[in-house]
Amino acid sequence: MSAAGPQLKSGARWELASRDPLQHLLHALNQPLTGLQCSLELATARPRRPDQYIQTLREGLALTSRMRDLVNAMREIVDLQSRDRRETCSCHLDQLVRETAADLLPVAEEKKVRVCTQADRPLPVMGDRAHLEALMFRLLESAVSLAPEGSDLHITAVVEQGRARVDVSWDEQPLPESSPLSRVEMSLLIAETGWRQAGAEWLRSRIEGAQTCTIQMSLAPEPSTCKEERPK
Amino acid sequence: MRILIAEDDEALAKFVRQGLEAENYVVDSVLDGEQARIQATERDYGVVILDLNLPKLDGVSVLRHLRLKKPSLPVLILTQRTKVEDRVQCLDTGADDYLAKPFSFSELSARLRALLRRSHLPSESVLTVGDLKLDRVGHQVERAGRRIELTTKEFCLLEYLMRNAGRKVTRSMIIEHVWNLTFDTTTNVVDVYINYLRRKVDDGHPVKVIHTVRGVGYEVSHPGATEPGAVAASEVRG
Repeated sequence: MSAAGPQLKSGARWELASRDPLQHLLHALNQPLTGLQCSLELATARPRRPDQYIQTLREGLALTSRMRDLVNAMREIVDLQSRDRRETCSCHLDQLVRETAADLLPVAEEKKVRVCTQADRPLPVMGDRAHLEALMFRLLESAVSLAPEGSDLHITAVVEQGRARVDVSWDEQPLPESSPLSRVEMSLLIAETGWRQAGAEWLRSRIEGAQTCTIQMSLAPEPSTCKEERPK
Repeated sequence: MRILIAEDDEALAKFVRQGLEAENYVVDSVLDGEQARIQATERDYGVVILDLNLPKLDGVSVLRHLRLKKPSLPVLILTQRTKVEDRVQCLDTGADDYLAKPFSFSELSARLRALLRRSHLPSESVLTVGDLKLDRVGHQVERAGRRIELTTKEFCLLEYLMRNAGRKVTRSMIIEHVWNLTFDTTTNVVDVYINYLRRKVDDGHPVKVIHTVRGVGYEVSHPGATEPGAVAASEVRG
């Protein structure tokens, strides 16, 4: 334990964020807000040199940018939590995995991250395809961002115990203790909220330095078409 | 060019107004939906910036009214909401673009510029910028008569940039239109794809058509090309 008192390891910190994302983000918002308040108070307290004003403005912009990210994340989570679950279509999770992974491949290559995708079996699930596509992009993009340069990113999509299961694993990059949630972690938090709301079970685990996010969804009973397309 | 801002938050309206006036637009602002409806109907504006949550008459009602009275008047919606459904509803009602608060002024400014020239967007099946040609129907691209092979995503990206030739487009605009996502990405996916495109489109050619616009995004242009509606903000003062 450090002299500054107990600090959360990144795993524990993530658990707290995951349990109540809005509360966590709201607390996180207090930090840049307080920073901005103090910075502006100091700037107006007494006359300063022009370069100091410029510095204050630059710091203010950086703090505002952080606040904007946090507010956007909170709003997206609120929107996702209040979203109606529309299971009007069956879409193939394996296809979403393959397409999204292929879409992000150039980004991974740039980072020298090797993407190993295994998604051969058809995994029909009920859900809004465009919505699940966006959630899959968020999840895989976050994984690519968090994977260290030159490491491997494993994506598997299989049937397990009659359910569709997608595992996304990457080497854990050690984070400084009690570091604030980064934009990527916020994105992953939004992805978690979105998948849960879409009816998936979400699990995040850490084994031997590897992070794994697991999504499990019920398989659609039959390869159905959209309800709207069914003959009346 | 005259712009109407309908925004009930006076401070925000003031900042936006100051920013747009600094870019040489003439700006009127109103604080409620009723005033917005009357003023936008009676006066000539190049674009209306419309907040959705307005007192007296909500933004969607103002938008519906404007679509009946002035179907070609560009309208950019400002909103607190981010749900895809809200966005779809606004666009279905006739909004031309949609920006969620909190936004940065540079994003608003870039979107306005794109919107002001949207009426000039080419609708033909073959887009041409200098010696670069993109056939939207045949899904083919060639530069100086030489065929260029692109992936589907690269094709979509180049098509979007060429449809907006001569205009600056932000990364958010690209993500929205090419990836169909309504959130800020956490990777440099746009920049990576732009680099891929550059290698295929610009490498080996003395004149480059894909340009980085610092602090904004990207622009496709060619010195020899005639770009419809490509006028600088300083030239559009009305």
